[in-house]
Amino acid sequence: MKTLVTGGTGFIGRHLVDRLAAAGTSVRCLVRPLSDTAAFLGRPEIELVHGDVGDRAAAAAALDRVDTVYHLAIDYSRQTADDLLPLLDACRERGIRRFVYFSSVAVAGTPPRGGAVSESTPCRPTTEYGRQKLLAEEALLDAHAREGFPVVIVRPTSVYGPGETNFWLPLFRAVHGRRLPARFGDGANLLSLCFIDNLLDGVALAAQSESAIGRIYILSDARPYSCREVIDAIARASQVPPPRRAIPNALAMPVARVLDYLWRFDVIEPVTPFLPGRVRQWMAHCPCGVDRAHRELGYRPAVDLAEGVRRTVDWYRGHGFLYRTLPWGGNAPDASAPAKSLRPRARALDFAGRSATLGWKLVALSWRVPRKIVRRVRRRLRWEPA
Amino acid sequence: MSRDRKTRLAIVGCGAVAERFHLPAARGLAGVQVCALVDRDRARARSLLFKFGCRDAKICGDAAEVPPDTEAAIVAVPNAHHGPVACGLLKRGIHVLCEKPMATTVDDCRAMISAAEQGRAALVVGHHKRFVPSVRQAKTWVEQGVLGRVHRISGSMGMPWQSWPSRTRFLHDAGLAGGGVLIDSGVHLIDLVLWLVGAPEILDCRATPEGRPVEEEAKLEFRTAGGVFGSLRFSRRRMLPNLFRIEGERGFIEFDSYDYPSVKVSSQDLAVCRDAGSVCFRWPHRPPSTSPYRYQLEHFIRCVRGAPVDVQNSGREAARTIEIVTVAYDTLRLRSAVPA
Repeated sequence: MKTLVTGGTGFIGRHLVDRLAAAGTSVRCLVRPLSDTAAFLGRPEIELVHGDVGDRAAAAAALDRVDTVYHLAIDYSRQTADDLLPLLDACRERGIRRFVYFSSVAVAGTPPRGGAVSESTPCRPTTEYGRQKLLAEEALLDAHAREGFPVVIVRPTSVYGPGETNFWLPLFRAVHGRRLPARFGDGANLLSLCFIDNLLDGVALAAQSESAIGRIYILSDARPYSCREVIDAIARASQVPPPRRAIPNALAMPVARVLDYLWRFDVIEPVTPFLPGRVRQWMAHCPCGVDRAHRELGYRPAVDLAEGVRRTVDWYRGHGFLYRTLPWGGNAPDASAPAKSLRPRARALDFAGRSATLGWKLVALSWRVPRKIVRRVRRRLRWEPA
Repeated sequence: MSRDRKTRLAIVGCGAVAERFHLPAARGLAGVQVCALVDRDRARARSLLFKFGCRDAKICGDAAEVPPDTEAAIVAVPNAHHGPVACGLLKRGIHVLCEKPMATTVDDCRAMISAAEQGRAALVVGHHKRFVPSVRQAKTWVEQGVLGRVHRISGSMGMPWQSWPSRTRFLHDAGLAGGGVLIDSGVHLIDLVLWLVGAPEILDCRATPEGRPVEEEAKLEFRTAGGVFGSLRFSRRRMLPNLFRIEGERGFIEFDSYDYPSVKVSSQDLAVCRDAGSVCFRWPHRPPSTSPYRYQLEHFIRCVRGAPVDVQNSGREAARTIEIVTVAYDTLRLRSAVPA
């Protein structure tokens, strides 16, 4: 029998597929026709089926001789969990052994003041992503309650690790490149991270345990980490000093907004960790507990923050996400020559050039801002007539 | 390029690519004199004549009207006209730099090659990405074996359609364009694969919207004779990562498929990478966007003047790109004809 993975081209999906394939499981991935499947080419142990999860025929075809389904795919463009229903119906008809649904702690929303998020915390999602995942959870639990559908729901916290290039990479880049001059807030807020290997350990336990059917499990590292701990761990793994200064909590968001505007008007290069949306997420206090997974599944996260961040930094370095920038001299670099840093004179010239550019941009800003405002007003008048 | 002798160059087709890239490149070369601007819309040709200060250039409504002393021509007309227009010029002994794609059919490509032989003229095709410094450096590294055996290539080119200021919107017309994003953007990356690791054999091709003659998004999966697997994605609808990545046993090379100020490399064989892991070589000053076109034109002019050059983008190589695109379209047609 085969195992079906939807969303197998994403960060978690790729790791899951690799782990299943390494364990000798026959894996089939349902991928959208235009997904980037370069990582799976030339690997006969992984079967690719093209189609959309929301397409009944594609879902039915993908489930041929499948006994376990790992459902990770999500269509961000849809506002409902409708794309799950064709797959759910097809799974019911086929009578699969286990359906593992990858939800998120985003379904719980903001934790109660001073408390931690657990599986029993009332769900009040604050994002569209969380609402969509919650709708899907409800549909699956309903199917379980009515017909005993063999679903297990896992709610990973913020997953990081080799291959994650969306949420955490900007922070790693900023710390590694020493472009994070200050921490946002005092850094005492607790964040729940989950290293990818820990998550997959938990998922494997949930997929095998008979008592897990119909249950929800939060999967995270052994304990929440403070924001300061996370930044320090990244700095240590990157072998750079961590930012010593801190922007007070009350000022962090206003500073982020000002930086955002300066970036939008091309005055500065974007410092992604300082974008308001990111700052809000990193300043959030969101500890999650893994007591249920620990108690019922025997889940023991093996990789701690320092080790997880070290492995992640190594991967980013090896795959070109954390890199050293050198000026091009016009000739191919000598393979035997050691790396050279910029000479003092070149550095001074570089600094002068940057200062001049910044000065020019500030001058340009004085006429660009009014123009942008006029353009926005015009657009609004044209598109949204009173 | 010597200043004393100027190559007389005709620009056939005065659309967006001529205005944005070919004419600025020609104006920047001292050894080139634009002698004719050809466009069915003579007013358009005249406006470019004034814009680029080509005072001595003749305005023509048809490629057959270019002056007899024209030595070379850049053909930048809609894709389906590349074959007939280029053949007419080549038979007259005029050297041709034809915009990509070389033609919309393999037959047209063959006709162009035989016309070039008949007229003893040079035929090169505008796969200008071969002249991008970062891409050329990547080619050098691959040839030097810095990556060891190359085993995987992934590339993407995609941005919303509105970003290209086409005047005629011929790219929406399958009859004129020869297809959609695959023949328009696809030929660039297919040509790079061909140039870097050899001819790809198509394993699979997908496109959306399905069954339409002008596809807006496409994906190609391929394998080369050397065992390189790869996947290329193209889109006119949305922004894609726009990266071209070559992975080998000992590292990888990555460059931007649209914008070229840098090339990223990681290899155990390069000393600079040993400490940092990956190094991004960045050009200190962003090269002007016309520069690959300028290098391409310089190369073409050297070919025209009979200098002993290794022709980088010959018609024969470009014809192979069209053969591969044709196979991809056949795969798509076959899939839409056979219900799943």
